[in-house]
This record gives sequence, C-alpha cells and structure tokens, in this order.
Amino acid sequence: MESRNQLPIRLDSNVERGRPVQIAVDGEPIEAYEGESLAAAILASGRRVFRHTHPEGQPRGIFCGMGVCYECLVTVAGRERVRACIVPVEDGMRVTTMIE
Amino acid sequence: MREVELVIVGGGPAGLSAALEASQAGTEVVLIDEYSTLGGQFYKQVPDSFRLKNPNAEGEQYVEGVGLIERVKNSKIEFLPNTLVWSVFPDRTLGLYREGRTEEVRARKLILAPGAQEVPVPFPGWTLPGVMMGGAAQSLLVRQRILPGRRVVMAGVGPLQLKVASQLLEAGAAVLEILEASNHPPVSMENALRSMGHWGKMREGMRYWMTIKKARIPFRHSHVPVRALGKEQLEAVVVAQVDAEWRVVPGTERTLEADTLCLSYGFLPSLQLTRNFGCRLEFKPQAGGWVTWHDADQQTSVEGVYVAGEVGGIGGADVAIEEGLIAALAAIRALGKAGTNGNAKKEREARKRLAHASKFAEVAGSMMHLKPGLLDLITEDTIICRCESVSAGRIMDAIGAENDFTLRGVKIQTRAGMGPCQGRMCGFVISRLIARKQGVPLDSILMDTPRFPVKPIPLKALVDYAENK
Repeated sequence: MESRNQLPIRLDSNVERGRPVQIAVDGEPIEAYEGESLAAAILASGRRVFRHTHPEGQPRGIFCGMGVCYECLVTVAGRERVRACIVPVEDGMRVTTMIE
Repeated sequence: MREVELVIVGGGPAGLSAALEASQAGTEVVLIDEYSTLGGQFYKQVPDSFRLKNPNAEGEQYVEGVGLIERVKNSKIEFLPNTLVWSVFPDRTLGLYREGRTEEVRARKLILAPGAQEVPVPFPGWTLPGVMMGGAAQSLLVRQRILPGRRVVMAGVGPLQLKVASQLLEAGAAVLEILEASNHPPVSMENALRSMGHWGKMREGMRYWMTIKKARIPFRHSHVPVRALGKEQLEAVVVAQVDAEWRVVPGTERTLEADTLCLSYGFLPSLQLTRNFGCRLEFKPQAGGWVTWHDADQQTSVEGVYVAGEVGGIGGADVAIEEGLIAALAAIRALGKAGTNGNAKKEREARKRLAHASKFAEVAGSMMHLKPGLLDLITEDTIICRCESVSAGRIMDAIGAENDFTLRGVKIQTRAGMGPCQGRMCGFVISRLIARKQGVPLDSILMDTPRFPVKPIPLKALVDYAENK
C-alpha cells in the first residue's frame, strides 16, 4: 500500500462525465464514471502500481496507454489478464491488481 | 461466412478517410477498431458517455476528428467497436474477436490502417510506474480527462512532445523540463515548415512553443533521461547532456524529483496484420524502419489488400488521410464500382496533397532519426523484454554465433518476445542490439515469424472457434 498517493486526478474543465458507477479494486469500493477506462479509474483512486512481476516482484503500471504493451494487465472477476487501458469500467466490476 | 465488399481495419485518420470515400461511392463498408470510439490515436476522443461542454475549446485537431466521426455515424458505414482482429486467413478473411466471441468476415477488398506505436527506449528504471509513453499521458488527458501526474519531465525527439507538454501545462501539471535528444532547437523545425509552406503546422507548433515559453519551462536540447529512480514508482529522473551521437557527456548528470516521465521518441508502424498476411516489407530508416511495401494505389504485394497511413511508413495524419482516400478509390475501382468522372480529378488532387504532406513527413522523419548513443544507456540489468523481465545482459549473451542475425535465436534462449505483447516492446531494441554486436546493418536482422493470435484472446474463445469450424 506504500504506493498509494493522490497523484493522478480527474479534471473537470469542459467535460461532463458519464453516470457514476462503483467498482471494487482489491476489495476497496472505488467511484468511477461510465465510459472511463479501468486504468483511468484505478489511477484516479490513487494507485499507480497495476501489478508486480513474478518472481522478481517488480512494480509495473501504465506504459503505452494504447493496448500494445500489456503492462497494465489486471484481473477482473471472471476474466483474466484484462488490459486496463482499453477496457471500460462496468458497474459492480471486481478488479484485482495482479501478482503474476 | 459473411462477405463484405470492403473491410477497413483501424478507425484513425487513414481508416476514416477511406471509409467515408468508399461509402460515399455506394460501397458496402465495415470499419473495425479495437477501441470503443473512432478517431484512433490522432483524433483521441472522449468516451461516448462523456459530454464536452464546448468541443471547439479542444482545438482544431479534436474538432476535425469530431466532424469525421459524425460523418461516419450519418453514413451507411457499419462500425464494429471493441473488435480485435486476432487472426488472418486466406482470401482476405479476418478472424474477429468481439463481445467475448470469435467470428469471421471475408473482405472482397481490404484496407489495413492499423497505425503505429511509440518507439520503446530502454534505460535503467524505465519499467517503474510513472514512466510512460507521451501518448499514454496524452490519452489519459484527452480521452479520460485525468491528469497523469503532478511533476512531469518530458523527454524524446521531435515536435510531438511540445504538444503533450503544453497540454499537460494547460491541465495544471508542473512540467519541470523538456529534454530534446537531438541538437536541433525547435526553431529549425519551424524554418523547415516555413520553407515548405506548411503554415498550419507552423502555427500549431508556435502555439505550443509560446505556451511553454510563457510558463518558463526549460527546453534543453541535447539532453536525455539516463535513469529513472524509485522504489514502487517513479520518484526522480537522472538527466544528462549528450553529444551529437546522443552519447552522455560525462559530468553533466543532474537529478530531478518527479512523479512522471513521458517518453516521445517517435513511432513504429504496426506491422502485425500485414506481416501475418505475408505482405512484402521494405526498409525505410526515416519512416520507422521496416514498413509495408505498397504500390502507388496503396495495394500491397497481396492482391486486394491495401494499406493506408503509418503501416506503410510513418508520415503523420495528413499523409494518412490522402493515402486512405487513394486506397479507397483504388479498391472501389477494383470492385468495378468506380465510373464517375469526378473520381479521376479527386484522385489527382489527393495525390498532389499527398506529395506536399510527404515532404513534411520526410523532414520530420529526418529530424527524429534516433542516434546510436541511446543504446549506451542500457546496462546489464536493464529490462529489455518487459513481459518476461529479460535483462540486456541475458540478451547480449544469447546473441550467439557470428552468422546468427535473427530475433528468433534470442527468443528461444531467453523468452524475450514470448510474452503477451509478442515482441512489440522489445523487438525494436533487440534487433538493434544484434546489429551492434554483430557489426551488421539493421536491415539484415530478420524479424521473428509472425504468428496468430495477432493479440492474445482467451483460450475459451479459441476453443469455441475451433468447435464451430
């Protein structure tokens, strides 16, 4: 949890977001907005580490941001290895940041 | 199996332009994109469920994108969002994966416009969360309306990072420094644009430049980040001055406390689809290295398969738009659907605009040429294959016999390139490491064999596909 901080923030100028939805990230309820990518919602909750490599335990996060590098893989209940940068949030999603 | 007159893969500038032209001529068009929104990485759009209070405030590029996408929505073009082309089959048949299922579509004519990815440049610490491609920061800002960080260092080559920097500034980030690896000051780019009559591009560049100047952000040419420091995420960036070959000048290292480092070292064509089709490639160092060969009608070496945009060489959006138009005109002619006299004139004009835009692309390409010193930043322990955590030391050991110039050898010994990104991040670097160690030119390094799936899909979807066959 040492990686938690308030770095990335939602910007409000010139935009009205979709309707609020709730997802759970590692068991913690997180507010998100319809249409947002999982990555955006996870970042906005103050998390930058999306997974740790196995067995080295290196932290990884958003890198290419366009679905190419597969660094932002997370587990969504029922679906393994989801690219957080591409997949939009859905109400009630249960997300686990991954330890491979 | 469904058969469609024209299938277009990629909803960026090239794909949009091609789709609109072909649809207008009465052609049946299916447009495929991996994203939920059209526009690609150039016309990055907010999600459909977001609303912009004033779209015009987003700038010309955004508004142009909105206009093209509106035209698609009001046309007969069938758009398949969130759709991955996971495999290609003979007779221009595509394996699609969408909504958790596989399906196939056969194209009588096919235009591939998959675009590009950013150039990965490894150095110690580049895997730390907080180090990201410039495009990732831009997507978070423009698509998602998220500020990617508070204290940001920008690094790379060429004018794109000026744009990302000014967008970050306007959104409220502290941009600490902008590091330009080459020794060109931005004014040399401006001069080149002026000499060629690219007034629009020049004005745009000047606007970013003024934003940066006004905020008093140091712009340092001949500088690169050499190390990223931090435990669980980026905490500081060590930067240094470089010489004309981008080799670090000893004694010039400084440390900047930052939470975000954006890298913009240029683009590489996305070749997975054309390579899987067996399209011939050619080597163009100023256009991203290996690119898909095509004729003047944008047709590849595979009959009926056309390309438009970056996949045929990095050239930017203006080139992509004209190539899309030319590819569409050629495809509808081949379908026997042409026939209006207007098309010849339209094509002539498109070719003229393409020639003009290509001149700019050439200048930009030559200014963004990566120099060898960049590879010297890599240490033994630097991760090269991010998926499988393979270090440079292991890769250098695996580059074996004198006559082995293939990525395949390295892959078999180290697993580099076997992870989910399938070598998209490490292949570019490993081929350079092989070329350097073996003392051979880059175009003699053979790429590994293209294989399906083009991008990973769940095993269950693959099994379903096999059972339904």
